[in-house]
Amino acid sequence: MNCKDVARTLSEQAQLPLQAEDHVKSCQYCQELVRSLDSPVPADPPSPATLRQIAEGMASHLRPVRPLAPARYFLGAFLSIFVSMVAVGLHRTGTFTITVQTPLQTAAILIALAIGAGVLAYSLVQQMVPGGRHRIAPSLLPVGITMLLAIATAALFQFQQEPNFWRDAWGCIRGGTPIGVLAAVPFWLVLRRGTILSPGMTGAATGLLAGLVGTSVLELQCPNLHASHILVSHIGVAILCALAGLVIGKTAEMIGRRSDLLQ
Amino acid sequence: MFPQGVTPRVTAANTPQMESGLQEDVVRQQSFVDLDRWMERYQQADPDAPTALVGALSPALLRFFKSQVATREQADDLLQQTWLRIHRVRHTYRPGEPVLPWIYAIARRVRVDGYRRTRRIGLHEIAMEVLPERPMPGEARNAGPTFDTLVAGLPEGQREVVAMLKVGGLTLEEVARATSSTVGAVKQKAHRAYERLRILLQVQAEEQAGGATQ
Repeated sequence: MNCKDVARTLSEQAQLPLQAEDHVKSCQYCQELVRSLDSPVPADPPSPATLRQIAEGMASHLRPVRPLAPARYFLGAFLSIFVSMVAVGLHRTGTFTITVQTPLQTAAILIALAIGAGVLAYSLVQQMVPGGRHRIAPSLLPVGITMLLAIATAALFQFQQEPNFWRDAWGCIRGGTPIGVLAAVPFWLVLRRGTILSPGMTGAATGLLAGLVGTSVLELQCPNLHASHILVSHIGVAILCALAGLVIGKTAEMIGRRSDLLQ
Repeated sequence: MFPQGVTPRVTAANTPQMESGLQEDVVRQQSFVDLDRWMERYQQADPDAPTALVGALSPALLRFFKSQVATREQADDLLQQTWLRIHRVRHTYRPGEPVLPWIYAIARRVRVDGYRRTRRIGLHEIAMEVLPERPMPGEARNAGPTFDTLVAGLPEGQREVVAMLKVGGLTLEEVARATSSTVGAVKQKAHRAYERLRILLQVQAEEQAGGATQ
């Protein structure tokens, strides 16, 4: 066992195994590291007057509060909103794509969208509560889901030259974005029951989830099966909504900090 | 100081008289339950709950803020703001969930906001540089670096993880929850931090050895 192994063991376990302890005994620097980390932190407690003042302040405005509902209710709410909004969108536009796509293409792209929406909804439920458990870091999630969809699209559909690429793309973006914006409203209404500690990150995730509603509608409605069209105009809707969410979140964060500063 | 039934976890975890790991685990487990219970009573507006929670958690929170290179005044200010925010969002604690990640996630956010606020104010003020006191020859070597000076050389993310693990006494899982991260990412940060600390200690020791021979 060497110094690197000791550092790794320290980061994984509270108690060093015998092998690591043997190395620590023979290595001056590891010994010093372990000693410094284990040394008792000098007592510098907060003044009792300050603590009393804080506790009294909290007790004076104390009212019973109802704790947040269990996570599964919020997860159910997010997924129900997602499905309902897609259904509303499709009711207006129709499902032309199913007739021109192969069953494999339809199934694969819908599964990718469902996985993306499910993982995002789970992450948002965890982000609503400080100290929630995350299986995937929420800061990486929007990028990861966008990449998953892009890879699925590139694998399932063919890249071909299109004469009216930008005109068609603009048509889909113009049709899908309002659906995403509309879906963001009920998502926000659910989110505001919790506490958002990182508005930028949560804004991007909410925007992406709302954008995926628009993408799902386009995937089932638009008969253009060219990979470049789907990437730019269908997944583009989700990316646009995610960016809008990020900007709105960051702006809200800035405004909140400024108002705190003025108080 | 604390109402009956409260075993402040951090105080208990730092007590030098701990004889065995098992005993320590039992105390930790016990204090976990106590904090959970007090948090639930706080949500039900029990007037004793704020005193119990503030008394049990404030020393560790203050240490956490101080280890993030804050002055004592700033740390006191951050502590008050943390409790204010906890009071505002107390409904978001779900009974049965661990309390510490919930508290530290809020404290971490308050610290980030505080840091940004201080930086903004600092831009409009003329800084009066205070030179650090020079240690007497041989003094630093004998005393060894304190935890705060040791972790001050780490990048912010690593310092935060080490402070939560070593000062707050949180587990890897709890740190991951508090930092909106995964256990794997926390382990990696802690590993890098310990590697870096070992190198820093090595460099310091070599410098001191060089100084002593001159």
